[in-house]
Amino acid sequence: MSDRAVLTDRGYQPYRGPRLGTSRAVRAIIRDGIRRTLGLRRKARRKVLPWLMIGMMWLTMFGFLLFIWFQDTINVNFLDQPYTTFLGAVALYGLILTSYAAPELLVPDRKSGALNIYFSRPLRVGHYLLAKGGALAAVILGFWIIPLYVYHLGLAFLSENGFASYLGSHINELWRIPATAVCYLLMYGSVALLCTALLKRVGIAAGACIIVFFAFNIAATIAMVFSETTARWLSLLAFEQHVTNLRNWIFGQEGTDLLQRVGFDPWVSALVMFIVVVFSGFLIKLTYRKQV
Amino acid sequence: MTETSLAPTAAAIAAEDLSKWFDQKVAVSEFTYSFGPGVTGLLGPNGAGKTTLLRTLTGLLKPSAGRALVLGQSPRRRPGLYRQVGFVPEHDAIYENMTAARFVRWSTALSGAPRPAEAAERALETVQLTGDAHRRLGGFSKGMRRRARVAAALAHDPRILILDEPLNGTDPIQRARLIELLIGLGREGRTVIVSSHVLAEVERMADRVVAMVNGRLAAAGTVAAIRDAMSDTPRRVLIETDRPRELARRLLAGEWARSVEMGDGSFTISTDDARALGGAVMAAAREAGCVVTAVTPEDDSLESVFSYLVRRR
Repeated sequence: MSDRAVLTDRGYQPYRGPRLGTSRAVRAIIRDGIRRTLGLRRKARRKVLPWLMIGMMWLTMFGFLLFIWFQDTINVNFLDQPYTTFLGAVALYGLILTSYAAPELLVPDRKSGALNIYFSRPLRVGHYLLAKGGALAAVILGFWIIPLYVYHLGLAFLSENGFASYLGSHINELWRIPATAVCYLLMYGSVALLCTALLKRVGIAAGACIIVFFAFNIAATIAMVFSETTARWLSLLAFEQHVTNLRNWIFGQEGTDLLQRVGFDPWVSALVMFIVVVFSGFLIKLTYRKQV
Repeated sequence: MTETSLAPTAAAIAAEDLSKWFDQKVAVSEFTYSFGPGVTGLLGPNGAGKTTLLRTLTGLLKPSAGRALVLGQSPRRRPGLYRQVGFVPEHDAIYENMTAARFVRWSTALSGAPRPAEAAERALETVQLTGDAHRRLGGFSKGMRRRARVAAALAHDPRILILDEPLNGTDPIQRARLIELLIGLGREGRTVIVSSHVLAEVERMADRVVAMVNGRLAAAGTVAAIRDAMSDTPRRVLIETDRPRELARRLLAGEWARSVEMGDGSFTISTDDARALGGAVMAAAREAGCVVTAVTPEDDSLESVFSYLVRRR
């Protein structure tokens, strides 16, 4: 070995190796968003609401299966539309979970000043909102789809025609279940995000979202007694009716009473949903562009 | 460390005629400066526009006029540039429910660093938080939170590190550690910009300072160079001697002495030419037979320079 000294400290050499793309950052936000929404690795009180709704969903699902097993044993049929009836029974849980999840995903970032962290990273506002939407979608779709498929399997298991025969004859439910879940996600999620963009507290935004769904529903129903024209206009804002209308259409059933009476076909509901999604997306983007 | 790593290269971050206003309030006005490797202290009284300047330079705010460039490009158009930037905002931007390790790892993943867990571990070690890495940030002291945020800004190995008032709320030990860390990062050749209104701290860590007053660039350079450039402000020099009156009388006869304030066993002389005064003091002392025990410039500190700058505006 040579006795000559060698200087090896070359000072700071910037890292020139590969750096990961935006998709990695988006995935990190989605993962964090799912944890935050479900209260994972957070205090117990943060877990109560999301897991209560998830628990109620599963409990109702098993309750329905038990009821169907019971009516089969006594040979009566009170429940001839098991999918839509079940969905109607659990829709409120979905609404509450979505109304809570959307503000929980966005509001703390604004309140804690964490937007600075996001936007001093290789991310655009669009990426951030896309990732937050992705987290919301993952939670809400999981909330709807997993128990619905288990319910589907449960119905097949209880079917008197046999498990395989039921699955074969109800093959369409395989796409109807995710399609319905997407409708719930888009309608509930858009309104929840809209309330989140306009309001500054998680609780208030969640409450406002639930009120919006119920208030126009009730107002349109009451207006029906007095004026059909007013009821028609108010029905356009009765988002709960529209999502129910679409759900029934997907499962090949008739629309809701109110929308049938005012003469709105499922395509009107689809159009309302489309407009709500576009409008809330636009407003949220505008809100965040102003903040950054 | 070799010379090459410290040699100034192309500006890492630059403001060109940068202005930012909010309605009628002008926060930054026609600011032009290029920040290079090493630690640069951004000074200014509260409300001078430091935070707005840093947020505009990092692309978090859109300039109202002029340009902010990171590595020669606009960060607002090329968010990919943020892979080379670490930013620590003034206010606590953390999630209290996260542990320090998870916060830094998550933040590193956002920056696109490969193997974020390892990078986060290294960064936490750098800021000496390894022992508390698995504690929730909500239970951290203000200074520990700052260090966690510095770790988050540092973990993806950025070339440019921007820290807005990083020493606020830290205790003296943590402050000393942070200052040491920032000096080290600057010596490595990174571009480190630190805003502060605590002059003594800036003086300790910064190779050069940029002073802002009322949103404008008031001065830039080393403290000595800025003081030298302030030719319209006489320098004050304290002279301690056994016969102050005699020496003061002789010095006042010279053309470069403006005024004298007498003290007990000393006097302070104001002069337009400190270098000439230095030679003259010794000559006058010899002639008068005085013993001069100390000649101390009174206003060469950053504090004095800064207070002059603020007064001038």
